[in-house]
Amino acid sequence: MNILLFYPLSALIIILSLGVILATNPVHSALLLVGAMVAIAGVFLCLNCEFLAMLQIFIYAGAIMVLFLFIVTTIDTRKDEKFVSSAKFSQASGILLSGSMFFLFFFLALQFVQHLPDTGRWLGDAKGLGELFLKSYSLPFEVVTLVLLTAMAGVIVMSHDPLYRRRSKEASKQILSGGNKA
Amino acid sequence: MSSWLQASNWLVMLPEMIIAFFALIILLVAAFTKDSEAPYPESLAITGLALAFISSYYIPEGVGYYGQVAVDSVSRTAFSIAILGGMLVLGVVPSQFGTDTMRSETSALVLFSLCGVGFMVTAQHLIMLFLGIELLSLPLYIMAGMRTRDPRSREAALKYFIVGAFASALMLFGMAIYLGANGDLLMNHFALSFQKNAVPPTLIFFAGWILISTAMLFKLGAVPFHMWVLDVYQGSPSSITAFMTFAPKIAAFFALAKMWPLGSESGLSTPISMMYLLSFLTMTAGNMMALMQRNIKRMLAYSSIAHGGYMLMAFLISGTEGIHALLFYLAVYALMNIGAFTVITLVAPSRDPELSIISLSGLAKTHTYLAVALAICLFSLTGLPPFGGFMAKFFLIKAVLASGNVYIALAAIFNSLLSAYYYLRVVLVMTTREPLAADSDELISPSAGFTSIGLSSRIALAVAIIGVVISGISPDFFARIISL
Repeated sequence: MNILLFYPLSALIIILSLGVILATNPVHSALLLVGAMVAIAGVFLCLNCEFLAMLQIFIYAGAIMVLFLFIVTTIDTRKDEKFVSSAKFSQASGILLSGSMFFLFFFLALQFVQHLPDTGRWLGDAKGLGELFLKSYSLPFEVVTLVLLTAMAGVIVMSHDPLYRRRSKEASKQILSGGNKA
Repeated sequence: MSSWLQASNWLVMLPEMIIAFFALIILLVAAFTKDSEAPYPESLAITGLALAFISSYYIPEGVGYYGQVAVDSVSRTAFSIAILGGMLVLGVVPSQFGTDTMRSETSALVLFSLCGVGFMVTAQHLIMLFLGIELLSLPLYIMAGMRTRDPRSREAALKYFIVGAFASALMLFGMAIYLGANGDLLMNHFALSFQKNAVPPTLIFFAGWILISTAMLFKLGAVPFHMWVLDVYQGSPSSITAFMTFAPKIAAFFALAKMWPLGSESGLSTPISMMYLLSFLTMTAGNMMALMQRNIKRMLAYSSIAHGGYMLMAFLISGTEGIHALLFYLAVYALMNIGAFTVITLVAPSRDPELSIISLSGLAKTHTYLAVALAICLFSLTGLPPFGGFMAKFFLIKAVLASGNVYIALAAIFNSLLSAYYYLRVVLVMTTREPLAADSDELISPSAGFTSIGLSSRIALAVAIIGVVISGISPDFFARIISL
């Protein structure tokens, strides 16, 4: 683990993530998220996980974020619609909560360094990942497919309009009956 | 190949595999048939669940898939309860979505959700637990928003999704810390750290443990994490709400049982006092807020929070007695809620869609059987003697008293007395009030209300009511059915 690289990368991740939630333009948010993903790939590289770093860039920065951008551009977002909540109470409580969480975990992290157990060899290359996926993690690997399938079915259900098909059927019936009369 | 099969002990997951297989079949059938000629997808789903239920008797116990999952009698029974409840809910689904085209999707999603329950109760690795929680919750988010035209339903889906995502984020954060504290994500570190005379767990372990437990408490709606329950239960379609009341509870309770020291067995006082407080707050707050509700679904939502509080008492009992009382309670609780929500599903279309309690007035005269069924469920939820709810509370409170926690048992008894007010008020409204004016048309033409009730939901309702009665009269026989 290269500490000299790790600290600038983590700072970059934090700054970019803050940018994601603070940006008022969703396209900017998405692009900043791409940056954060690439920086996380950098952390993986520091841990000698070249394959994982590559996957991180391919899948997150490449595929998923492009889909994000597609969706953001197809949804009509007006400039005056701001994503940031303006309620004073929720802002204050949010800052209070996240601040206290931060300090809690900051002190935990100080303790963390002293109690770090040996985590063994990091299996970040293609061979190691393949072994994990097909042996000890074969069941979770399969369950992920079920989760993804469920999500896919969910998108179809949520975007399905029960009245749409009925209306289009009625419309086609009207056209047909009109044609018969003529 | 054969060595892999032997090493993975793959048969332990057979019920989940059967359920997932049938869910895929339902989706495929739905994709290749027209809506009008689709066969009853629920029957296919119920067949799958029945096969899974039978197979769960024959699968071997033990660890499988390289230590990812482990099946024991408790996890098997918990999963069987969820499967049986799922079968009953699927019986009610046709009357809910009768004219809609969403029935095959609903059936498949219920099956996926049950799969998630199975993975959660058997998980031995936090990755499995996390995937189980996601597989359980994703279908629930979707089904909550199934009435896409109804703003309440959309609100329910969105709220549930956001709160669920927050809980998942907490859990992932906790998992990261747990990994740091232990070096791997196996769940047996919980049991090892909470043994008597074990090395006291580090602060960092506690942080991970608290975060993961919090995610579970979100799922079962314990009191500081209960805000979502109300709107989600109200906005979702009633039959789906019935499923929501028990499936996530079963999964979360038995996942929690694997990571929480039961009673005083750990020798640590912090977990006990935390659970004491959680249980007391949950049951009291749930009951207090239920007193003020005018909407029957909101009232049942708060009552489900209160029941969650009673069930949390099981964690104050060391040994297996508390877990067995919890299993019995969950089984009875699932039946009572399925019964109550089935009646609501059947009554709702002909009455007030907002489902205020007043809209049930005179139900005993217009729909006598439904009123009797709802009354039995409400008596049982109160904990009146001839019904299952009484025996469930009796076993639980007896075990709590035996473990020496007198005050929390007294609080539970007092809360039960308090809950009688709002449960019995509904019964009073059903019997003593005259039917509302809008309902009198229906009296003249009874076809509007009664024939629209599908046969399958009548059977499901009957089974639920019989279960509630049998569990009250002969709890041993009931326990044998659910293979305790």
